[in-house]
Amino acid sequence: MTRSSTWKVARAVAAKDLRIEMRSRVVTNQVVPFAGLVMVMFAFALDNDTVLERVSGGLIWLATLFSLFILVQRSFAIDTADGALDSLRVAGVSPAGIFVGKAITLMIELLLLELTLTAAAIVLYRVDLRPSSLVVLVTCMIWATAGLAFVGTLYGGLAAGMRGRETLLPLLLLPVVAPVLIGATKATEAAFRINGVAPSDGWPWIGLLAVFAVVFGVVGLSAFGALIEE
Amino acid sequence: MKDATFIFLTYGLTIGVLVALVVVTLRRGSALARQVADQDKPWL
Amino acid sequence: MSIDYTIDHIATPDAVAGVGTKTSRGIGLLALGVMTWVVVSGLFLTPADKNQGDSVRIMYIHVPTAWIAYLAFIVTGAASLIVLIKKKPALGFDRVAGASAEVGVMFMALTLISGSLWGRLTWGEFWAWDPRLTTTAFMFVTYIGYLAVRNLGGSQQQRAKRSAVLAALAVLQIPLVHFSVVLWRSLHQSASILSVDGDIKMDGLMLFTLFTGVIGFTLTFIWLVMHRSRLMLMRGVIEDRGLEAAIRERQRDTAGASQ
Repeated sequence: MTRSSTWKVARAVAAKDLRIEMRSRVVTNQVVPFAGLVMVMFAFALDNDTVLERVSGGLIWLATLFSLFILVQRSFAIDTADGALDSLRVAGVSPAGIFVGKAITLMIELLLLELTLTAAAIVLYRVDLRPSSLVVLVTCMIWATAGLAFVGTLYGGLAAGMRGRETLLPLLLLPVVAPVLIGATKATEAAFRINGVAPSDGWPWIGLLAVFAVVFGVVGLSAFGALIEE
Repeated sequence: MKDATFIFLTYGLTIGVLVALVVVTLRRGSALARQVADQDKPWL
Repeated sequence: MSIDYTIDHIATPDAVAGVGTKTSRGIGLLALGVMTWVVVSGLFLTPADKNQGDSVRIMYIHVPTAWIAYLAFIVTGAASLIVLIKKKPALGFDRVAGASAEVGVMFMALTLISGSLWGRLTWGEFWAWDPRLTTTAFMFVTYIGYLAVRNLGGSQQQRAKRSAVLAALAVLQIPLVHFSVVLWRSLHQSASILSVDGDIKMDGLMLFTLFTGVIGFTLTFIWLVMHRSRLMLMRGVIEDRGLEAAIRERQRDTAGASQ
């Protein structure tokens, strides 16, 4: 498969998934509110303004991870419901293209989610976000999201069509995304200047996130085909 | 022996679990071996 | 398949009712002997440590089980890589990967428990967020996920390939997790690497017991993996036989119906 056809497939898959989302509005009407609710629940559970502000970085990414499972399930439920994934595979469509396409969709949905959650943190937890921290925050989000999207698509493909995948996917994904949780939390805390940390302290953590994303991006491209095969 | 409870607990648990695993493996082995013909067993 | 498994329950009345071979029996007996000696030595023959007292005796359990847990993980990873590389379905290696994972999970659970109890005696805490412990806990959960995937698959070939990819991913993910946790903990000044075995002065017998403990547990591991992969093979034969019988039933039905 040539590079251009992989990319063409990716664009087609992403466009299809996004069109479905725009019609059904599941992410905007269900997943984002769910994540927002999780942020509110954290406030009830922790019940302390100082503590909340201090752990806000971690809470944003925890809420993101919980929503990740739902997003990944949805991404593959769309295709396995009518055997669409199988038809794509049998038709000889580039698996790498499917991987990239689905990852792109997931990434867009995740970014939307994270922006909402950050806004919630600013409002609910009184996080202090200054313009000078935006570069760190945005870079962190991009690399963390890329990593989550690649890993989510990869494991989603593995669990696709298996019985019990709703309970299996979180079990498989959580250990894998731990580095993202650690890195993104630390980088976000740096951006929010929590505990006297400066935004520039976030860069090493963004480095960790970038390594993670690159590793799973490359692995996903090669392994995805083997996974959806019969 | 000081802290004897924890120490014996650790040894007991470990050896116990391993023995149990061995016993279960042997039992299941005999049960299955009776159902499979000898020529399908590559180790024989 | 060469045998006509039309009788459901007992294939041949005089099939060998056991899974052992000379090799596996030898390994098993050796393991039994070595382990007995290790337990006796660990509990009664070796001296208590100057700093830790008797709690050091847990070391003879904890260190070998940790070693085997990591070994099992590597075996599963290596066997899975072979499954992925070979063009023809390498079901034998898939069975080794699965058996090693089953045994590995057991050993990892024992490692975590013995480590926890040892930590309680030496540091006063059942748990610490030290990188080695945390990574081991992660490996444990990863393995459990791997076993769950193995139990939900379709055909043997599908299962083999899926599990193999998962195992390969696990080999990739564990170092990443470990590295992240090391970075994470390096921020906390108080966390010097809390290794339970850091301050122990080992005399000759202690070292020897530890060494033979590793050997004994390794032999046990090998025996268990040999037997459990044979179990898997037999289950596979029975499963295939069940499928073939069902297909033959279907053919007989359609043949009968068309008459």
